[in-house]
Order: sequence, then structure tokens, then C-alpha cells
Amino acid sequence: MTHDGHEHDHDHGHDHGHEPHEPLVVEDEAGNIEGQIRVAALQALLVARNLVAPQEVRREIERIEAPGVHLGAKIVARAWTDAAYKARLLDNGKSAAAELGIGVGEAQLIVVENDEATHNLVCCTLCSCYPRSILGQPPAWYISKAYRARVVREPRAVLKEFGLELPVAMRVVVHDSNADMRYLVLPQRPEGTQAMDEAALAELVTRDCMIGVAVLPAA
Amino acid sequence: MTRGYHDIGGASAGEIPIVELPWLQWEKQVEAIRNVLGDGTRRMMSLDELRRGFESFGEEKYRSYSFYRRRLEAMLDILIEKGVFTREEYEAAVAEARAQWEPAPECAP
Repeated sequence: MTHDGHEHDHDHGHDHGHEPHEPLVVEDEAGNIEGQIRVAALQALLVARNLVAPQEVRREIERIEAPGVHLGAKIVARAWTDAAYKARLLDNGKSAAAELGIGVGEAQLIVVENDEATHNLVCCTLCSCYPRSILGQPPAWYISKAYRARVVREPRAVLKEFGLELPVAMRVVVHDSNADMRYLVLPQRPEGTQAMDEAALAELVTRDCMIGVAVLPAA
Repeated sequence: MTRGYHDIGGASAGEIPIVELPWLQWEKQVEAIRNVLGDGTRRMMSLDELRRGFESFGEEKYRSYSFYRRRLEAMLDILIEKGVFTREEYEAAVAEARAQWEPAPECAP
């Protein structure tokens, strides 16, 4: 993103959003420039003290940019097509991810399976824990106060806001992540996908269904 | 027991702001610097320390800062607390960095 030539039509420091209730705190243009200046100053100090080399930060940025939903989708598609793999995945998410060359460095990984009777949903009420090495950065709403606060008390109401209404008889299980444990939802394989191979199946899997705020439609 | 201001699970709140935001360069830089400082060779900043930073720097700051600004300010507090640099040294570095962000002069019509 560039900061040049942007006209400021406001003079406040931080934009606290426009939602009536619990706004997502986002930076406006001035706030983003301030953030850039302050982090640049931090890096300059750390480099001057030989604590960090500039190329280390660049490399680390490349490393954290790399993971994305495609990795989670690969895990899910393998579990759908290989029952033995699925069993290992549900037993130990981290080692099963490693089998596919996906390193989960940040914490343990617990994979929770949706079925006809149970729907799983993931959150982090205390902060922003999320399986970043599998899904990339969490979406803004995942770290919003409203999601963190409400999802553990009224998950069905929250899901309805995402456009998902589950049958009353279905059990909804909410998993609160923490620094040592991250969760990934294994969605149900959609109807009508019997003829699809693993690569085609992976294309169907979305981020939201691996967080649990969506389910996959029949193909 | 008093709950910390970050401990909001079960609290009431408004509608979920279902938005997707781009991940900006400075935000990536904040994450990257934290990761590098917390790696096995340095061990200068664990995730738990970072959380302790923003979970104890006061509700007003916590509520008014954006997600990455919160992490950046917590990191600064902790590094200053550890004596890696002083607040004054940091503010001097900010002044230097700011000088590189002078707005461009207006174009002549």
C-alpha cells in the first residue's frame, strides 16, 4: 500500500469505526503512517544494536506471508479421501500436517470433525490465537470484540449473522483456542463429490468452513 | 475475581463486523520483528510476554489501539522494561523515522 498523494479529509488520529456497538478498531491513513513510522523506528534501533539484521525481518515477512487457506484445504481433502490419514489427523493434528510437509510451529493442532450430529466452531476469546501456519492471518472479524465475546455464549446467533442456520437438533461445539492449542474444523465432505479426486476436493474447501462459520454446499 | 479487560468471552456485544481487511506492510513488520525477537537464538520476546504487555497496559490503550498497534506498543513497553533501549532513545528514533515521511510538497497547478 502506498501513502503518497492521499488527501486527508479528516483530522483525527484514530478512526474508531462506524458500527454502533462494538467497533473494530482500525487505523485510518494517518494511523497507518504512524504505525509504519513507529515500527521503522523500532527496527532501526534493533539493527543499530546488532540485535536484528534487516534481512532477517524481510525473510520473516516472506515466511509469514506464505501460509494460506490452500494448506488447510490440502489437509481436509486428504482426510476426506484417506480414512487412515483422517484417523491420524484426528489423533495428532501437528504430526499429520507434517506428513504433508506442513509445519505447525506455533502450537499443538487439534482437528475437530463435523458430522450429521455435531457442528464445530473455533474462536479465541482472550486474543487472536488461530492456526496461522495452516490458514494464514485471521480475518478481521475473528479478532473483533463482538466475535470473541459472543461466540461462546450465543454461537447460533453468531452463525446466523454469517448466514448459517443449523438444525435445532444439531449440537454446536465452540472451541476456544489459546497460545498452546489451535483448532481446525474438518468440515463434512459435500454431497455429490464422490467422483472428485483429492486436488479437485481441495479446491472446494474454504477458510470459513475450516473455522466453522460456514458449511460446504452440495456440489 | 476481577476479570482482565481482555477476558471478554461471554460478554455481550453488538453485531459481528464481518469484514476482510488487507494485511499492511507495517503490520507484517510488527509480526516479523516479534517472531525474530522470540526465536530460539534470541528469546527476547515470547508470545506470553507480548500478551502480558497489552493485557496490562491499561484498558484505555487496549481499547483505542488497533490490533497491530497494540502489539507494537506492548513490544516497545517490554523492550524498554528489559533495558534494551530507553523511551528517550526510542522517541529519538521515531523523530528520525518521521523525518523520512515528510509529506510531498503540493504540485503546482
